[in-house]
Amino acid sequence: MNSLHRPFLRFIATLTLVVLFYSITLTKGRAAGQAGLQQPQDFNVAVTCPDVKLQAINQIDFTKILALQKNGILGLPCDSGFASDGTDLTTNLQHGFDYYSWLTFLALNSPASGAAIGAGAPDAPTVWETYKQLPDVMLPKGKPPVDWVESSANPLVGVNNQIVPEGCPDPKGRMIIHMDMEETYNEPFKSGPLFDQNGNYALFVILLNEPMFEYINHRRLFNVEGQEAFDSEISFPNGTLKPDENKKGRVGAIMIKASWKLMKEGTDFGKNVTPKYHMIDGLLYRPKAPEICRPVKLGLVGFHVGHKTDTRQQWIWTTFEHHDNVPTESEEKNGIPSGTTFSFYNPGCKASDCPVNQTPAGSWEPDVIGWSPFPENPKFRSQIVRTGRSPVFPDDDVGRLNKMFQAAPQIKNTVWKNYDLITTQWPSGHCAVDAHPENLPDATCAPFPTFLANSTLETFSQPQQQTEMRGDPDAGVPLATSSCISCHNNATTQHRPASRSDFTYILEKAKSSKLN
Amino acid sequence: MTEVSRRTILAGVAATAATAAFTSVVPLQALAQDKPEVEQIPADDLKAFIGLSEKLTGIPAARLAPGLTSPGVDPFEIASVYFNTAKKVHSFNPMIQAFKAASTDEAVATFMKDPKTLYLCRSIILAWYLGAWYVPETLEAEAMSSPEAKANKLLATGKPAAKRYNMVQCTVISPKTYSQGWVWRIAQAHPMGYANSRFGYWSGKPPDMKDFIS
Repeated sequence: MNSLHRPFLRFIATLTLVVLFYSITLTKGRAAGQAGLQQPQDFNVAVTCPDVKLQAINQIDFTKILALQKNGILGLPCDSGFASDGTDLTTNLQHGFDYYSWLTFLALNSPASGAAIGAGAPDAPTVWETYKQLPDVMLPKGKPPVDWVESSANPLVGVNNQIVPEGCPDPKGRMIIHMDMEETYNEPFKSGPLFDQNGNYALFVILLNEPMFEYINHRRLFNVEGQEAFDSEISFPNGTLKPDENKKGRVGAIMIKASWKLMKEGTDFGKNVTPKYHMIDGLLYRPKAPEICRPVKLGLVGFHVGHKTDTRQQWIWTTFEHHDNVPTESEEKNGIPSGTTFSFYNPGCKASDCPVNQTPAGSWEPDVIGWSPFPENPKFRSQIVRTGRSPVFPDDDVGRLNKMFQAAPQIKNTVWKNYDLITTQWPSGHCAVDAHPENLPDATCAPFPTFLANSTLETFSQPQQQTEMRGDPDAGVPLATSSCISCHNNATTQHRPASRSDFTYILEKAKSSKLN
Repeated sequence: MTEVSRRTILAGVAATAATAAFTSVVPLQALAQDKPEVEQIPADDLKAFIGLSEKLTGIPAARLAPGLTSPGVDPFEIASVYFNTAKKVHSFNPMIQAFKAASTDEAVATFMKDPKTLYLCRSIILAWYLGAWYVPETLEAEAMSSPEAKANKLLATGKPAAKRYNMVQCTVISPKTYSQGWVWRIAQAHPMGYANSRFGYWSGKPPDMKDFIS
C-alpha cells in the first residue's frame, strides 16, 4: 500500500500546484482585464508624437513639416504646442493652436495608403475617411457596431466597415450618405439646411477615430441600456505628448464633421477640368426616393476636427473651409470682382431678391420638398456671407499662416491649397488640464475666441454682422451664437436621467435595444 | 470735507444701484445710431484704464484683464469694450492721461472730488460689476435730486406704493458684458439665460467662491 500511496500523493501535490498556478494567473488576468476596462487609455493608439512647438510664425520650417508629413498620418499632433516666453500669451497661444490645426489637417487629409498629403490624386481616400461614421456606431435597435478594421489592411476600403443599408449595392469604398438622418442635411439644433447655387443640399457627415470608437464600443455606450448601466464619468481618451515606457505618446479621441457639395460634371470634374475640391465617390441613401442609393460625386467644402488632449480637456476645435464657399462681410461690402463665383453666394443677386443668411421657408426635408440632385428649377439657393470677427487678430496671423501652408511644396500644386483655416478654438483657463474639474462655474474653461462658426456647418448661428458690433470685437450672444466648446458643453447621453457625455453629441444618438 | 476712498465711491454706487431696484433698460436697438468703430486702443491707454479700474472696483488688474499686465490669457477682452464705451464721455481721455501721469490713490481721490469725473468713475464701476452703462449725467441727476423730488417722481408713476421703483436708466452694453458682470461671480451665481456649468451641476456641491473669482 505504501508503494501506491507515495506516487498518488505526488500526483495530488503536482495537481494542486498546477491548479494553484492557473488560478493565480487567471485571476490576475481577469483583474487586469477589468482594470483595463476602466482605463480610458486602453484603446488609445500609441505613436511617436511629432514636435509641434512653434516659437514664432516666421520660424515655421517647411523642411521639418515635410519630414513630419512624409508618412502622412504620422504627422498628426498628439497635442498642441506654443511659444512660452510669457508675453502676449493670447496671441502666441493662438499661433501655436493654428499651427497645430494645419498639421492636423495635413495628417488627417493625407492618403489612407500612408503616403504624404499631395502624393495621391485629388480624390485619393484620406485617413479620416477610413474612420467610422456615426450611423455605423449608433445602430437601429441599439445593436452593437461591427468591429473596427485596420485601414492599413486595405487602404481603399473607405469608411470603416460601413453597414450597407437595404437597397444599396456594395459600396466598394464609396461613402454612404445617410439622408434618412436629419443631421445629414439640417444644421445643428435644426437651424436650417444649406443649399448651394445649383439648388443642392450641402451634406454633413460625422466620423470618429479608433480610440473614440473603441471607448464607446467597449463600454457599450452605443445603446441606451449600455449608457444606463455605465456608472462612471464618461471621459474619452486624451492625446498626450507624455512619453510612456516606450517613449510613445497617444493620439486620443478625434471626431470629425465634414460638409460636402455635390459636384457637377463638366464644371467641378471631368475632361479638361482642373479640380479645385477634394472629391469622393458617395452613395446618396434615401429609402423613400425612387433611386434609393444614388451614386454621386462629392467635394469637400467644410471640415471640423475635435481632438481631446491632456492639456485641453475641453478639446481643441479646428475648422477649415474651401476658398470658394462664401465671401466675407468686408468682401461683400467692398465689391466682389466680376466673374468671381461662390458655392453658396451669388454676387449678381440683389439683397432684396437674395436676403443674406436666410433659411428657406417651408419644410426642409428632401422627400417633402421633392428634391432631386441638380434640380432644373431650384426652389431655393442660399445666399451666405461669413460674418463676425474675421480675422481673430488685427494682424491677420491666420491669413498669413494659410498663405504659408498653401504655398508649401507638398500643397501648392494640389487641391489642398484651396482650403483655409478659419481659426482654432481652445479652452484658455487653468482648468483646461484638469481631467476631473468637478463642478466649476465655467466648465467650458473660457474658450478663445469666444465664438467660432463655419459658414457651411453653422451657417445660421454665425456671429452678428459687423454693423452691430458696438465696440465689441465679438458680436454675438453667448450660448446662441456658435461656439464649439460652449455648445458641446451641454452634450449629454440619451438615457434618462442623462449624464454628461464629454463634449460630444454622438452619444445622444443612441437607440434603445428594448423598444420595437 | 467728504473722505474720498474706495468705500465712499462704492457707497455712492451702492446708493445709486439700491434705488434702482428695477432699472429701465434702453433697448439695444436704440444704440444703433451710435455705433463706435472698433479701432485699436493704444496699449498704454488701455493699461491705464485697467489700473484705474482696479482702484475703482477693488478687483485686481490681473483678473480684470488677464494678460495685459501679467502673464495670462483674456478670452473675453471685456476691458476694451468698456474702454470703447467710456471714451465717448468727454472727460474720459483727460482722466486717463492724468492717471497715466500719476497712477496713485491720490489721483483717484482727485477724480472723486471733481464732478466732471466723479460720476464717470461710478459709471465705470457699474460697468465692470453689472455689464451695463449708466450715463454719468444720469447718475449725477439721481444723486443730486432731493428726497422730495425722488418721492414725487415715484408718486407720479401712479403705481401702488409696493410697486413703485426708482428708475435709473442704463443700457446693457452687449450680450457678452451681460454675462461677464462681476456681480454674478461675487454672488456665486450666473445671469439669467447663461450658465456654463457642467450638465447636472444643480445636483452637486456648489463651487467655492475662489472658483468664481479666480
